[in-house]
Amino acid sequence: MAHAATHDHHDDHHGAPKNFFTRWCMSTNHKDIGTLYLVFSLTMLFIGGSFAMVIRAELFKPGMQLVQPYFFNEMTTMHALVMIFGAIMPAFVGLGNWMIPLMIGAPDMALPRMNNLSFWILPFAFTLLLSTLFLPGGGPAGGWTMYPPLSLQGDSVAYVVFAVHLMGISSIMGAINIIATILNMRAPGMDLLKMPVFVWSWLITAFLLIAVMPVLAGAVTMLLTDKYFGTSFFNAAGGGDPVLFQHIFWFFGHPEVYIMILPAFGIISEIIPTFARKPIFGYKAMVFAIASIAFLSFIVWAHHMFAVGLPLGAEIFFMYATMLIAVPTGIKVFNWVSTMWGGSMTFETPMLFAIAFVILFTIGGFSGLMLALVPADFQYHDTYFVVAHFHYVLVTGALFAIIAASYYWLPKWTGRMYSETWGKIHFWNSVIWVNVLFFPQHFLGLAGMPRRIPDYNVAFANFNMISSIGGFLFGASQLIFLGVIVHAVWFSKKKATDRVWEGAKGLEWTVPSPAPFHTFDVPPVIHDEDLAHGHVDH
Amino acid sequence: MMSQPQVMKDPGQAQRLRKARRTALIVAAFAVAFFLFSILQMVWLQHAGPAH
Ligand code: HEM
Ligand SMILES: [Cu+2]
Repeated sequence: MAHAATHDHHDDHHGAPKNFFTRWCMSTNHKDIGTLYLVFSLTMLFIGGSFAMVIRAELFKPGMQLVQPYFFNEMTTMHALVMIFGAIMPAFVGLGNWMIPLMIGAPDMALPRMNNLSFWILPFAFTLLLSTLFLPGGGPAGGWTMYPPLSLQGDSVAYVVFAVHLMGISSIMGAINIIATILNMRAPGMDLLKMPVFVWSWLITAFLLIAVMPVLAGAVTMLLTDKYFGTSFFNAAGGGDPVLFQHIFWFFGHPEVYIMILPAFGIISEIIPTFARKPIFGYKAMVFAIASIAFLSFIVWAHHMFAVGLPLGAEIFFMYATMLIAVPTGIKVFNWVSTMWGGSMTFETPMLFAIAFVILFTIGGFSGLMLALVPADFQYHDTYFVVAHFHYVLVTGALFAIIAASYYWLPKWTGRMYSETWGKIHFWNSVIWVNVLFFPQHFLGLAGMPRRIPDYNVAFANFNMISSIGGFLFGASQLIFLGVIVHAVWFSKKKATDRVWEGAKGLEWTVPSPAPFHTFDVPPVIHDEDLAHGHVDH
Repeated sequence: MMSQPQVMKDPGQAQRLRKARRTALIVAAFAVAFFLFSILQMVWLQHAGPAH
Protein backbone atom coordinates (compact mmCIF):
# COMPACT_ATOMS: atom_id res chain seq x y z
CA MET A 1 0.00 0.00 0.00
CA ALA A 2 1.10 3.55 -0.68
CA HIS A 3 0.42 4.46 2.89
CA ALA A 4 3.91 4.15 4.38
CA ALA A 5 5.62 5.71 1.38
CA THR A 6 3.40 8.79 1.40
CA HIS A 7 4.11 9.25 5.04
CA ASP A 8 7.86 9.28 4.66
CA HIS A 9 7.67 11.64 1.78
CA HIS A 10 5.77 14.25 3.67
CA ASP A 11 7.53 13.92 6.96
CA ASP A 12 8.51 17.59 6.90
CA HIS A 13 4.85 18.57 6.99
CA HIS A 14 4.20 16.70 10.18
CA GLY A 15 4.63 18.16 13.62
CA ALA A 16 3.32 21.45 14.86
CA PRO A 17 4.95 24.80 13.99
CA LYS A 18 7.67 25.65 16.51
CA ASN A 19 6.87 29.34 16.74
CA PHE A 20 4.26 30.00 19.45
CA PHE A 21 2.47 32.74 17.53
CA THR A 22 2.31 30.75 14.29
CA ARG A 23 1.21 27.62 16.05
CA TRP A 24 -1.66 29.10 18.06
CA CYS A 25 -2.72 32.35 16.44
CA MET A 26 -2.40 31.21 12.84
CA SER A 27 -3.54 27.67 13.43
CA THR A 28 -5.58 25.84 10.85
CA ASN A 29 -5.22 22.51 12.64
CA HIS A 30 -8.43 21.09 14.08
CA LYS A 31 -6.65 19.70 17.13
CA ASP A 32 -4.91 22.94 18.04
CA ILE A 33 -8.07 24.94 17.41
CA GLY A 34 -9.97 22.42 19.53
CA THR A 35 -7.44 22.96 22.31
CA LEU A 36 -7.81 26.73 21.98
CA TYR A 37 -11.57 26.44 22.31
CA LEU A 38 -11.27 24.21 25.36
CA VAL A 39 -8.77 26.47 27.11
CA PHE A 40 -10.93 29.49 26.33
CA SER A 41 -13.98 27.71 27.67
CA LEU A 42 -12.24 26.74 30.89
CA THR A 43 -11.13 30.34 31.39
CA MET A 44 -14.69 31.54 30.89
CA LEU A 45 -15.93 28.86 33.28
CA PHE A 46 -13.82 30.35 36.03
CA ILE A 47 -14.73 33.96 35.17
CA GLY A 48 -18.45 33.12 35.03
CA GLY A 49 -17.97 31.03 38.17
CA SER A 50 -16.52 33.98 40.06
CA PHE A 51 -19.65 35.98 39.16
CA ALA A 52 -21.74 33.14 40.59
CA MET A 53 -19.70 33.29 43.79
CA VAL A 54 -20.57 36.98 44.12
CA ILE A 55 -24.26 36.13 43.66
CA ARG A 56 -24.19 33.35 46.26
CA ALA A 57 -22.20 35.50 48.70
CA GLU A 58 -24.77 38.29 48.49
CA LEU A 59 -27.60 35.79 48.94
CA PHE A 60 -25.91 34.02 51.85
CA LYS A 61 -28.05 36.01 54.28
CA PRO A 62 -31.14 38.17 53.83
CA GLY A 63 -30.50 41.90 53.65
CA MET A 64 -27.97 43.73 51.52
CA GLN A 65 -24.55 42.35 52.37
CA LEU A 66 -21.76 43.00 49.94
CA VAL A 67 -22.72 44.60 46.64
CA GLN A 68 -24.98 47.28 45.25
CA PRO A 69 -28.23 46.12 43.60
CA TYR A 70 -27.13 47.28 40.17
CA PHE A 71 -23.89 45.37 40.44
CA PHE A 72 -25.83 42.29 41.55
CA ASN A 73 -27.95 42.56 38.42
CA GLU A 74 -24.83 42.90 36.32
CA MET A 75 -23.55 39.72 37.92
CA THR A 76 -26.66 37.64 37.14
CA THR A 77 -26.69 38.94 33.57
CA MET A 78 -22.99 38.44 32.94
CA HIS A 79 -22.88 35.08 34.69
CA ALA A 80 -25.45 33.72 32.25
CA LEU A 81 -23.95 35.31 29.13
CA VAL A 82 -20.44 34.17 29.99
CA MET A 83 -21.48 30.64 30.90
CA ILE A 84 -23.80 30.09 27.91
CA PHE A 85 -21.81 31.74 25.13
CA GLY A 86 -18.34 31.58 26.66
CA ALA A 87 -18.14 28.32 28.58
CA ILE A 88 -20.71 25.73 27.46
CA MET A 89 -20.98 26.43 23.73
CA PRO A 90 -17.23 26.86 23.05
CA ALA A 91 -16.52 23.71 25.06
CA PHE A 92 -18.75 21.70 22.75
CA VAL A 93 -17.23 23.35 19.68
CA GLY A 94 -13.78 22.51 21.03
CA LEU A 95 -14.74 18.89 21.63
CA GLY A 96 -16.30 18.74 18.17
CA ASN A 97 -13.20 20.20 16.56
CA TRP A 98 -10.92 17.75 18.26
CA MET A 99 -13.04 14.65 17.87
CA ILE A 100 -15.27 14.89 14.78
CA PRO A 101 -12.42 14.59 12.22
CA LEU A 102 -10.87 11.78 14.28
CA MET A 103 -14.21 9.99 14.54
CA ILE A 104 -15.09 10.13 10.86
CA GLY A 105 -11.58 9.57 9.51
CA ALA A 106 -11.09 13.05 8.03
CA PRO A 107 -7.70 14.81 7.92
CA ASP A 108 -9.12 18.07 9.29
CA MET A 109 -12.23 20.23 9.29
CA ALA A 110 -13.48 21.08 5.82
CA LEU A 111 -12.73 24.82 6.14
CA PRO A 112 -9.60 25.15 8.29
CA ARG A 113 -9.04 28.88 7.83
CA MET A 114 -12.62 29.71 8.72
CA ASN A 115 -12.11 27.51 11.75
CA ASN A 116 -9.30 29.79 12.88
CA LEU A 117 -11.51 32.84 12.42
CA SER A 118 -14.44 31.27 14.31
CA PHE A 119 -12.24 30.81 17.32
CA TRP A 120 -10.30 34.04 17.29
CA ILE A 121 -13.45 36.15 17.17
CA LEU A 122 -14.38 34.89 20.62
CA PRO A 123 -11.65 36.45 22.78
CA PHE A 124 -12.47 39.81 21.22
CA ALA A 125 -16.21 39.35 21.73
CA PHE A 126 -15.78 38.53 25.39
CA THR A 127 -13.21 41.25 26.04
CA LEU A 128 -15.78 43.65 24.63
CA LEU A 129 -18.59 42.19 26.71
CA LEU A 130 -16.61 42.07 29.95
CA SER A 131 -15.17 45.53 29.42
CA THR A 132 -18.64 46.99 29.87
CA LEU A 133 -18.37 46.18 33.57
CA PHE A 134 -15.71 48.88 33.81
CA LEU A 135 -17.52 51.53 31.79
CA PRO A 136 -18.91 54.58 33.59
CA GLY A 137 -22.52 53.54 32.96
CA GLY A 138 -21.89 49.92 33.92
CA GLY A 139 -22.56 46.72 32.01
CA PRO A 140 -25.81 45.06 30.99
CA ALA A 141 -28.00 44.29 33.98
CA GLY A 142 -31.38 43.42 32.48
CA GLY A 143 -30.85 39.66 32.41
CA TRP A 144 -29.36 37.45 29.68
CA THR A 145 -32.80 37.42 28.06
CA MET A 146 -32.39 41.14 27.29
CA TYR A 147 -36.10 41.96 27.44
CA PRO A 148 -36.85 45.51 26.37
CA PRO A 149 -37.58 48.10 27.67
CA LEU A 150 -35.43 47.09 30.67
CA SER A 151 -32.41 46.04 28.62
CA LEU A 152 -32.45 49.34 26.74
CA GLN A 153 -31.67 51.30 29.87
CA GLY A 154 -28.03 52.15 30.37
CA ASP A 155 -25.28 52.88 27.92
CA SER A 156 -23.81 49.45 27.29
CA VAL A 157 -26.42 48.36 24.73
CA ALA A 158 -24.25 48.93 21.68
CA TYR A 159 -21.32 47.02 23.21
CA VAL A 160 -23.47 44.10 24.25
CA VAL A 161 -25.24 43.91 20.89
CA PHE A 162 -21.94 43.97 19.04
CA ALA A 163 -20.51 41.32 21.35
CA VAL A 164 -23.57 39.12 20.75
CA HIS A 165 -23.22 39.64 17.01
CA LEU A 166 -19.60 38.50 17.19
CA MET A 167 -20.48 35.41 19.23
CA GLY A 168 -23.26 34.65 16.78
CA ILE A 169 -20.99 34.93 13.76
CA SER A 170 -18.47 32.69 15.46
CA SER A 171 -21.10 30.05 16.22
CA ILE A 172 -22.60 30.22 12.74
CA MET A 173 -19.23 29.77 11.09
CA GLY A 174 -18.45 26.93 13.46
CA ALA A 175 -21.74 25.28 12.59
CA ILE A 176 -21.20 25.71 8.85
CA ASN A 177 -17.81 24.08 9.21
CA ILE A 178 -19.18 21.16 11.17
CA ILE A 179 -22.00 20.53 8.69
CA ALA A 180 -19.64 20.77 5.70
CA THR A 181 -17.18 18.44 7.41
CA ILE A 182 -19.63 15.76 8.48
CA LEU A 183 -21.57 15.70 5.23
CA ASN A 184 -18.53 15.61 2.95
CA MET A 185 -15.34 14.54 4.68
CA ARG A 186 -16.23 11.11 6.02
CA ALA A 187 -13.79 8.34 5.15
CA PRO A 188 -15.14 5.79 2.68
CA GLY A 189 -17.23 3.27 4.62
CA MET A 190 -18.24 5.73 7.35
CA ASP A 191 -21.88 5.93 6.28
CA LEU A 192 -24.17 8.38 8.03
CA LEU A 193 -25.84 5.64 10.04
CA LYS A 194 -22.49 4.23 11.13
CA MET A 195 -21.25 7.50 12.60
CA PRO A 196 -20.70 7.77 16.34
CA VAL A 197 -23.67 9.28 18.19
CA PHE A 198 -21.52 12.25 19.21
CA VAL A 199 -21.01 13.12 15.54
CA TRP A 200 -24.73 12.78 14.89
CA SER A 201 -25.56 14.98 17.85
CA TRP A 202 -23.22 17.68 16.55
CA LEU A 203 -24.62 17.49 13.02
CA ILE A 204 -28.13 18.09 14.33
CA THR A 205 -26.95 20.78 16.77
CA ALA A 206 -25.20 22.58 13.92
CA PHE A 207 -28.49 22.78 12.01
CA LEU A 208 -30.15 24.23 15.10
CA LEU A 209 -27.40 26.82 15.31
CA ILE A 210 -27.81 27.78 11.66
CA ALA A 211 -31.53 28.22 12.15
CA VAL A 212 -31.55 30.23 15.38
CA MET A 213 -28.31 32.18 15.85
CA PRO A 214 -29.30 34.51 12.97
CA VAL A 215 -32.64 35.05 14.70
CA LEU A 216 -30.86 36.13 17.88
CA ALA A 217 -28.70 38.42 15.77
CA GLY A 218 -31.87 39.87 14.25
CA ALA A 219 -33.46 40.36 17.66
CA VAL A 220 -30.49 42.23 19.12
CA THR A 221 -30.16 44.26 15.94
CA MET A 222 -33.71 45.47 16.49
CA LEU A 223 -32.81 46.31 20.10
CA LEU A 224 -29.96 48.37 18.71
CA THR A 225 -32.12 50.26 16.24
CA ASP A 226 -34.80 50.81 18.89
CA LYS A 227 -32.21 52.28 21.20
CA TYR A 228 -30.18 54.39 18.81
CA PHE A 229 -31.93 54.73 15.47
CA GLY A 230 -35.47 55.71 16.32
CA THR A 231 -37.29 52.51 15.37
CA SER A 232 -39.97 51.14 17.66
CA PHE A 233 -40.08 47.42 17.04
CA PHE A 234 -40.55 46.78 20.73
CA ASN A 235 -41.67 50.19 21.89
CA ALA A 236 -45.42 50.40 22.56
CA ALA A 237 -45.39 54.20 22.41
CA GLY A 238 -44.26 53.99 18.80
CA GLY A 239 -46.70 51.26 17.78
CA GLY A 240 -44.40 48.35 18.61
CA ASP A 241 -44.84 45.54 21.10
CA PRO A 242 -42.35 44.40 23.76
CA VAL A 243 -43.92 40.94 23.79
CA LEU A 244 -42.78 40.49 20.19
CA PHE A 245 -39.22 40.59 21.47
CA GLN A 246 -39.98 37.74 23.81
CA HIS A 247 -41.39 35.68 20.96
CA ILE A 248 -38.40 36.22 18.76
CA PHE A 249 -35.95 35.81 21.63
CA TRP A 250 -37.42 32.49 22.72
CA PHE A 251 -37.71 31.27 19.14
CA PHE A 252 -33.94 31.44 19.43
CA GLY A 253 -33.80 30.70 23.16
CA HIS A 254 -35.46 27.35 23.38
CA PRO A 255 -33.50 25.73 20.53
CA GLU A 256 -30.48 27.34 22.19
CA VAL A 257 -30.99 25.31 25.36
CA TYR A 258 -31.02 22.19 23.18
CA ILE A 259 -27.87 23.40 21.45
CA MET A 260 -26.38 23.16 24.93
CA ILE A 261 -27.66 19.65 25.62
CA LEU A 262 -27.68 17.65 22.36
CA PRO A 263 -23.86 17.39 22.13
CA ALA A 264 -23.97 16.36 25.79
CA PHE A 265 -26.35 13.55 24.82
CA GLY A 266 -23.80 12.55 22.19
CA ILE A 267 -20.96 12.47 24.71
CA ILE A 268 -22.91 10.36 27.18
CA SER A 269 -23.78 7.97 24.35
CA GLU A 270 -20.04 7.50 23.72
CA ILE A 271 -18.98 7.06 27.33
CA ILE A 272 -21.62 4.68 28.66
CA PRO A 273 -21.03 1.97 26.00
CA THR A 274 -17.27 2.15 26.61
CA PHE A 275 -17.49 1.55 30.33
CA ALA A 276 -20.40 -0.89 30.11
CA ARG A 277 -18.45 -2.76 27.39
CA LYS A 278 -21.61 -3.08 25.32
CA PRO A 279 -22.73 -1.30 22.15
CA ILE A 280 -25.24 1.47 22.72
CA PHE A 281 -28.75 0.12 23.07
CA GLY A 282 -30.96 1.29 20.18
CA TYR A 283 -28.46 3.25 18.08
CA LYS A 284 -30.99 4.34 15.49
CA ALA A 285 -33.54 5.22 18.15
CA MET A 286 -30.90 7.42 19.78
CA VAL A 287 -30.26 9.26 16.51
CA PHE A 288 -33.94 9.69 15.73
CA ALA A 289 -34.64 10.82 19.29
CA ILE A 290 -32.05 13.58 18.93
CA ALA A 291 -33.57 14.60 15.60
CA SER A 292 -37.11 14.69 17.00
CA ILE A 293 -36.03 16.68 20.06
CA ALA A 294 -34.39 19.15 17.66
CA PHE A 295 -37.57 19.40 15.61
CA LEU A 296 -39.82 19.83 18.64
CA SER A 297 -37.51 22.47 20.06
CA PHE A 298 -38.82 24.85 17.38
CA ILE A 299 -42.45 24.63 18.44
CA VAL A 300 -42.28 25.06 22.20
CA TRP A 301 -40.76 28.53 22.65
CA ALA A 302 -43.78 30.16 24.26
CA HIS A 303 -43.49 27.94 27.34
CA HIS A 304 -41.17 30.71 28.52
CA MET A 305 -44.02 33.19 28.12
CA PHE A 306 -47.03 31.50 29.67
CA ALA A 307 -47.42 34.41 32.06
CA VAL A 308 -47.45 37.22 29.47
CA GLY A 309 -51.11 36.76 28.58
CA LEU A 310 -51.14 34.45 25.57
CA PRO A 311 -54.45 33.37 24.04
CA LEU A 312 -55.76 30.21 25.72
CA GLY A 313 -55.31 28.15 22.55
CA ALA A 314 -51.64 29.10 22.42
CA GLU A 315 -51.10 28.20 26.07
CA ILE A 316 -52.58 24.76 25.44
CA PHE A 317 -50.63 24.20 22.23
CA PHE A 318 -47.31 25.14 23.78
CA MET A 319 -48.05 23.13 26.91
CA TYR A 320 -48.71 19.91 24.98
CA ALA A 321 -45.90 20.47 22.50
CA THR A 322 -43.51 20.92 25.42
CA MET A 323 -44.71 17.79 27.15
CA LEU A 324 -44.18 15.85 23.90
CA ILE A 325 -40.42 16.40 24.24
CA ALA A 326 -40.51 14.08 27.21
CA VAL A 327 -41.11 11.17 24.79
CA PRO A 328 -37.83 11.26 22.84
CA THR A 329 -36.01 12.36 26.00
CA GLY A 330 -37.44 9.35 27.80
CA ILE A 331 -36.25 7.12 24.96
CA LYS A 332 -32.72 8.38 25.46
CA VAL A 333 -32.70 7.86 29.20
CA PHE A 334 -34.21 4.39 28.73
CA ASN A 335 -31.52 3.50 26.19
CA TRP A 336 -28.66 4.70 28.38
CA VAL A 337 -29.96 2.61 31.24
CA SER A 338 -30.47 -0.37 28.93
CA THR A 339 -26.91 0.00 27.66
CA MET A 340 -25.66 -0.34 31.21
CA TRP A 341 -28.03 -3.21 31.95
CA GLY A 342 -26.09 -6.48 32.01
CA GLY A 343 -22.89 -4.72 30.94
CA SER A 344 -19.61 -5.41 32.69
CA MET A 345 -19.26 -1.96 34.10
CA THR A 346 -16.30 -0.19 35.59
CA PHE A 347 -16.49 3.21 37.19
CA GLU A 348 -13.66 5.39 36.03
CA THR A 349 -14.18 9.14 36.37
CA PRO A 350 -15.79 9.70 32.94
CA MET A 351 -18.32 6.97 33.67
CA LEU A 352 -19.09 8.41 37.11
CA PHE A 353 -19.85 11.79 35.59
CA ALA A 354 -21.90 10.10 32.85
CA ILE A 355 -24.02 8.18 35.35
CA ALA A 356 -24.50 11.31 37.43
CA PHE A 357 -25.58 13.02 34.23
CA VAL A 358 -28.27 10.44 33.52
CA ILE A 359 -29.76 10.72 37.00
CA LEU A 360 -29.45 14.45 37.58
CA PHE A 361 -30.34 15.55 34.06
CA THR A 362 -33.51 13.51 34.46
CA ILE A 363 -34.34 15.47 37.62
CA GLY A 364 -33.97 18.63 35.56
CA GLY A 365 -36.23 17.13 32.91
CA PHE A 366 -38.89 16.41 35.48
CA SER A 367 -38.86 19.93 36.86
CA GLY A 368 -39.09 21.08 33.23
CA LEU A 369 -42.24 19.01 32.85
CA MET A 370 -43.68 20.65 35.94
CA LEU A 371 -42.91 24.07 34.44
CA ALA A 372 -44.59 23.04 31.22
CA LEU A 373 -47.97 22.83 32.97
CA VAL A 374 -49.56 26.20 32.31
CA PRO A 375 -51.47 26.56 35.60
CA ALA A 376 -48.46 25.44 37.61
CA ASP A 377 -46.12 27.72 35.70
CA PHE A 378 -48.19 30.74 36.72
CA GLN A 379 -46.90 29.95 40.20
CA TYR A 380 -43.37 28.88 39.33
CA HIS A 381 -42.53 31.42 36.65
CA ASP A 382 -39.68 33.76 37.52
CA THR A 383 -39.04 32.01 40.81
CA TYR A 384 -36.05 30.04 42.02
CA PHE A 385 -37.81 26.90 40.84
CA VAL A 386 -36.91 27.89 37.29
CA VAL A 387 -33.36 28.60 38.44
CA ALA A 388 -33.17 25.13 39.97
CA HIS A 389 -34.59 23.55 36.79
CA PHE A 390 -32.17 25.04 34.37
CA HIS A 391 -29.16 24.51 36.59
CA TYR A 392 -29.94 20.82 36.82
CA VAL A 393 -30.09 20.54 33.03
CA LEU A 394 -27.18 22.86 32.42
CA VAL A 395 -24.73 22.14 35.24
CA THR A 396 -25.39 18.51 36.05
CA GLY A 397 -26.40 18.08 32.40
CA ALA A 398 -24.29 20.04 29.95
CA LEU A 399 -21.34 20.84 32.22
CA PHE A 400 -21.08 17.33 33.68
CA ALA A 401 -21.04 15.93 30.14
CA ILE A 402 -18.25 18.33 29.19
CA ILE A 403 -16.27 17.30 32.26
CA ALA A 404 -16.92 13.62 31.50
CA ALA A 405 -15.73 14.16 27.93
CA SER A 406 -12.60 15.92 29.16
CA TYR A 407 -11.63 12.98 31.35
CA TYR A 408 -12.60 10.52 28.62
CA TRP A 409 -10.53 12.07 25.83
CA LEU A 410 -7.75 13.77 27.83
CA PRO A 411 -5.46 10.69 27.51
CA LYS A 412 -5.98 10.78 23.73
CA TRP A 413 -5.11 14.48 23.65
CA THR A 414 -2.09 14.45 25.96
CA GLY A 415 -0.86 10.87 25.74
CA ARG A 416 -0.84 10.61 29.55
CA MET A 417 -3.33 9.33 32.06
CA TYR A 418 -4.82 11.77 34.52
CA SER A 419 -4.88 10.86 38.20
CA GLU A 420 -7.86 8.57 38.72
CA THR A 421 -7.80 9.18 42.48
CA TRP A 422 -8.02 12.93 42.08
CA GLY A 423 -10.59 12.54 39.32
CA LYS A 424 -12.77 10.61 41.73
CA ILE A 425 -12.21 13.17 44.47
CA HIS A 426 -13.29 15.82 41.97
CA PHE A 427 -16.34 13.79 41.03
CA TRP A 428 -17.62 13.14 44.54
CA ASN A 429 -17.10 16.72 45.61
CA SER A 430 -18.86 18.00 42.51
CA VAL A 431 -21.82 15.66 42.72
CA ILE A 432 -22.45 16.27 46.41
CA TRP A 433 -22.03 20.04 46.44
CA VAL A 434 -23.93 20.63 43.23
CA ASN A 435 -26.99 19.09 44.84
CA VAL A 436 -26.50 21.06 48.05
CA LEU A 437 -26.27 24.12 45.81
CA PHE A 438 -29.29 23.60 43.58
CA PHE A 439 -31.73 21.22 45.25
CA PRO A 440 -32.84 23.71 47.95
CA GLN A 441 -33.57 26.21 45.19
CA HIS A 442 -36.59 24.07 44.25
CA PHE A 443 -38.02 24.66 47.72
CA LEU A 444 -37.21 28.36 47.59
CA GLY A 445 -39.02 28.67 44.30
CA LEU A 446 -42.07 26.74 45.46
CA ALA A 447 -42.17 29.01 48.51
CA GLY A 448 -42.21 32.01 46.20
CA MET A 449 -38.71 33.44 46.16
CA PRO A 450 -38.29 35.44 42.92
CA ARG A 451 -35.19 35.04 40.77
CA ARG A 452 -32.76 37.90 40.03
CA ILE A 453 -33.08 39.68 43.39
CA PRO A 454 -30.22 40.72 45.71
CA ASP A 455 -32.31 40.70 48.89
CA TYR A 456 -35.14 38.51 50.14
CA ASN A 457 -37.62 37.82 52.87
CA VAL A 458 -36.16 36.25 56.03
CA ALA A 459 -38.49 33.30 55.45
CA PHE A 460 -36.07 32.14 52.74
CA ALA A 461 -32.95 32.47 54.88
CA ASN A 462 -32.13 28.84 55.69
CA PHE A 463 -32.31 27.33 52.24
CA ASN A 464 -30.35 30.24 50.81
CA MET A 465 -27.57 29.72 53.28
CA ILE A 466 -27.43 26.00 52.48
CA SER A 467 -27.43 26.80 48.78
CA SER A 468 -24.61 29.31 49.16
CA ILE A 469 -22.48 26.85 51.12
CA GLY A 470 -23.02 24.28 48.38
CA GLY A 471 -22.13 26.95 45.85
CA PHE A 472 -18.81 27.88 47.46
CA LEU A 473 -17.79 24.25 47.82
CA PHE A 474 -18.89 23.34 44.29
CA GLY A 475 -16.87 26.29 43.02
CA ALA A 476 -13.85 25.22 45.05
CA SER A 477 -14.21 21.65 43.76
CA GLN A 478 -13.62 22.85 40.24
CA LEU A 479 -10.13 23.92 41.29
CA ILE A 480 -9.47 20.19 41.75
CA PHE A 481 -10.48 19.77 38.09
CA LEU A 482 -7.97 22.42 37.12
CA GLY A 483 -5.33 20.63 39.16
CA VAL A 484 -6.08 17.26 37.53
CA ILE A 485 -5.80 18.80 34.06
CA VAL A 486 -2.54 20.63 34.80
CA HIS A 487 -1.11 17.43 36.25
CA ALA A 488 -2.23 15.30 33.30
CA VAL A 489 -0.90 17.70 30.69
CA TRP A 490 2.49 18.51 32.21
CA PHE A 491 3.39 16.17 35.06
CA SER A 492 1.74 12.78 34.73
CA LYS A 493 4.21 9.94 34.18
CA LYS A 494 1.62 7.34 33.24
CA LYS A 495 1.52 6.84 29.47
CA ALA A 496 -1.80 6.24 27.79
CA THR A 497 -2.24 3.38 25.36
CA ASP A 498 -3.76 4.04 21.93
CA ARG A 499 -7.08 2.55 22.88
CA VAL A 500 -6.91 4.11 26.37
CA TRP A 501 -10.10 2.41 27.60
CA GLU A 502 -10.56 -1.34 27.28
CA GLY A 503 -14.07 -1.05 25.92
CA ALA A 504 -13.52 1.95 23.64
CA LYS A 505 -14.66 1.61 20.03
CA GLY A 506 -14.30 3.94 17.09
CA LEU A 507 -11.70 5.39 14.75
CA GLU A 508 -10.41 7.94 17.24
CA TRP A 509 -8.89 5.10 19.26
CA THR A 510 -6.97 3.66 16.30
CA VAL A 511 -4.58 6.63 16.18
CA PRO A 512 -1.68 6.92 18.65
CA SER A 513 -1.93 8.70 22.01
CA PRO A 514 -1.27 11.60 21.97
CA ALA A 515 -2.98 12.00 18.62
CA PRO A 516 -0.29 13.16 16.16
CA PHE A 517 -0.55 16.66 14.71
CA HIS A 518 -1.88 15.24 11.44
CA THR A 519 -4.08 12.17 11.31
CA PHE A 520 -5.87 10.39 8.47
CA ASP A 521 -3.92 12.21 5.76
CA VAL A 522 -4.99 9.23 3.74
CA PRO A 523 -8.51 8.05 4.55
CA PRO A 524 -8.28 5.01 6.82
CA VAL A 525 -9.39 1.59 5.68
CA ILE A 526 -12.22 0.98 8.08
CA HIS A 527 -12.55 -2.45 9.67
CA ASP A 528 -15.59 -3.81 11.45
CA GLU A 529 -13.92 -3.51 14.83
CA ASP A 530 -13.26 0.20 14.25
CA LEU A 531 -16.95 0.93 13.95
CA ALA A 532 -18.92 1.46 17.11
CA HIS A 533 -22.10 0.84 15.12
CA GLY A 534 -22.86 -1.36 12.13
CA HIS A 535 -20.54 -3.27 9.82
CA VAL A 536 -18.40 -2.39 6.86
CA ASP A 537 -20.12 -3.25 3.58
CA HIS A 538 -18.15 -5.78 1.57
CA MET B 1 1.48 34.06 6.57
CA MET B 2 -1.31 31.75 7.63
CA SER B 3 0.08 28.27 8.12
CA GLN B 4 -0.99 26.16 5.23
CA PRO B 5 -3.80 23.69 5.69
CA GLN B 6 -2.65 20.18 5.18
CA VAL B 7 -1.27 19.13 1.86
CA MET B 8 -3.73 16.86 0.10
CA LYS B 9 -2.38 13.39 -0.17
CA ASP B 10 -5.39 11.73 -1.60
CA PRO B 11 -7.09 12.63 -4.86
CA GLY B 12 -10.53 11.84 -3.40
CA GLN B 13 -9.84 14.45 -0.75
CA ALA B 14 -9.73 17.37 -3.17
CA GLN B 15 -13.08 16.33 -4.55
CA ARG B 16 -14.55 16.02 -1.05
CA LEU B 17 -13.25 19.48 -0.18
CA ARG B 18 -14.86 21.00 -3.26
CA LYS B 19 -18.19 19.52 -2.30
CA ALA B 20 -17.70 20.69 1.28
CA ARG B 21 -17.25 24.27 0.13
CA ARG B 22 -20.48 24.08 -1.81
CA THR B 23 -22.31 22.71 1.23
CA ALA B 24 -20.87 25.54 3.31
CA LEU B 25 -22.13 28.18 0.88
CA ILE B 26 -25.63 26.73 0.83
CA VAL B 27 -25.77 26.58 4.62
CA ALA B 28 -24.42 30.12 4.91
CA ALA B 29 -27.12 31.34 2.54
CA PHE B 30 -29.73 29.85 4.84
CA ALA B 31 -28.20 31.62 7.83
CA VAL B 32 -28.33 34.98 6.06
CA ALA B 33 -31.91 34.32 4.99
CA PHE B 34 -32.98 33.53 8.55
CA PHE B 35 -31.37 36.75 9.77
CA LEU B 36 -33.14 38.90 7.21
CA PHE B 37 -36.42 37.09 7.67
CA SER B 38 -36.38 37.59 11.44
CA ILE B 39 -36.23 41.35 10.95
CA LEU B 40 -38.48 41.58 7.91
CA GLN B 41 -41.32 39.71 9.58
CA MET B 42 -41.17 42.18 12.47
CA VAL B 43 -41.38 45.05 10.02
CA TRP B 44 -44.32 43.35 8.40
CA LEU B 45 -46.02 42.76 11.76
CA GLN B 46 -45.69 46.42 12.58
CA HIS B 47 -47.43 47.36 9.37
CA ALA B 48 -50.14 44.81 10.04
CA GLY B 49 -50.86 46.61 13.31
CA PRO B 50 -50.63 45.53 16.96
CA ALA B 51 -50.45 41.78 17.60
CA HIS B 52 -53.52 41.62 19.79
C1 HEM C 1 -37.10 17.89 29.50
C2 HEM C 1 -37.60 18.82 28.84
C3 HEM C 1 -37.70 20.27 29.31
C4 HEM C 1 -38.84 20.91 29.60
C5 HEM C 1 -40.24 20.31 29.56
C6 HEM C 1 -38.51 22.27 29.94
C7 HEM C 1 -39.43 23.25 30.28
C8 HEM C 1 -39.12 24.53 30.64
C9 HEM C 1 -40.06 25.59 30.90
C10 HEM C 1 -41.58 25.43 30.81
C11 HEM C 1 -39.39 26.71 31.23
C12 HEM C 1 -39.95 28.08 31.55
C13 HEM C 1 -40.14 28.28 32.99
C14 HEM C 1 -40.56 29.66 33.34
O1 HEM C 1 -39.84 30.62 33.01
O2 HEM C 1 -41.62 29.81 33.95
C15 HEM C 1 -37.99 26.37 31.18
C16 HEM C 1 -36.98 27.26 31.44
C17 HEM C 1 -35.67 27.01 31.14
N1 HEM C 1 -35.13 25.81 30.69
FE1 HEM C 1 -36.14 24.11 30.40
N2 HEM C 1 -37.17 22.42 29.90
C18 HEM C 1 -36.64 21.22 29.50
C19 HEM C 1 -35.32 20.97 29.29
C20 HEM C 1 -34.32 21.90 29.33
C21 HEM C 1 -32.97 21.69 28.91
C22 HEM C 1 -32.44 20.38 28.36
C23 HEM C 1 -32.31 22.85 29.10
C24 HEM C 1 -30.89 23.21 28.85
C25 HEM C 1 -29.92 22.39 28.70
C26 HEM C 1 -33.24 23.80 29.65
C27 HEM C 1 -32.92 25.10 29.99
C28 HEM C 1 -33.80 26.02 30.46
C29 HEM C 1 -33.45 27.37 30.79
C30 HEM C 1 -32.05 28.01 30.67
C31 HEM C 1 -34.61 27.99 31.23
C32 HEM C 1 -34.74 29.40 31.81
C33 HEM C 1 -34.62 30.45 30.81
C34 HEM C 1 -34.74 31.79 31.49
O3 HEM C 1 -35.85 32.25 31.75
O4 HEM C 1 -33.68 32.39 31.79
N3 HEM C 1 -34.45 23.19 29.79
N4 HEM C 1 -37.85 25.05 30.82
CU1 LIG D 1 -37.62 26.23 26.72
